[in-house]
Amino acid sequence: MHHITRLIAPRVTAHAHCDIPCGIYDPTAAKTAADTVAKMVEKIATFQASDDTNRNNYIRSVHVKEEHAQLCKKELLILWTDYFKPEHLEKYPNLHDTFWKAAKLCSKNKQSVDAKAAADLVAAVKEISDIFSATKK
Amino acid sequence: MAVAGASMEPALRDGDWLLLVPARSARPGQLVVVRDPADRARLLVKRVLRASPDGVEVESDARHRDHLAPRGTIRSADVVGRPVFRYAPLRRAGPVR
Repeated sequence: MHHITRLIAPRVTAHAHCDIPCGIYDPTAAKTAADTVAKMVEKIATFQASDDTNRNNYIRSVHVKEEHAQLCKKELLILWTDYFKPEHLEKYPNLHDTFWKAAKLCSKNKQSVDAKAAADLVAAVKEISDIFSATKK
Repeated sequence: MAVAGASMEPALRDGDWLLLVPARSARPGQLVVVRDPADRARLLVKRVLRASPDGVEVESDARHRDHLAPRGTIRSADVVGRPVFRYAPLRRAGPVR
């Protein structure tokens, strides 16, 4: 049996690694997404005339806002679940709560056009980004 | 060939043994084995994102785990083949896609 296994065992390896598991995390993507949401909310509020070009841009802004709110959530969840470790939690006991609220703000911004919610999201992501930077020191 | 790593889960898992059809190209969505542009002695198994006459662009299925998937076009000469069949572990044996 051993011989057979050896006979059919692959000779080469194809790597599907988390290419070097990988230690490359960066809150910039979440920040950019949150800033984009805020910018879109700002733009949406200024649309007035209802000609086709305006309507098209309006719809696009809504679309981009929702897309980036979703992206922001995705990037936050990667940091939350993959980067942060129990030892970080010891130092930042509110970490889970902070992430949870930030993720909820992403949903809120996806659902609504709300300048306050957008500003809150930007602030929440900044807070997470600051914690991230502090853990890197 | 053997799969090492988890970046292609759930389609391929660490330790899967695959049969490969030699190929120089693949269509978007297909699995492909390519030479790592950063280290041509190393083979990578990925999924085709875009294909052009020059080569392919690839990505991992488990994208969040794969910040270092090769960027840009991988030349056709560095495309090795397409995994078509998993023969081990036996309980998951069958075509792969």
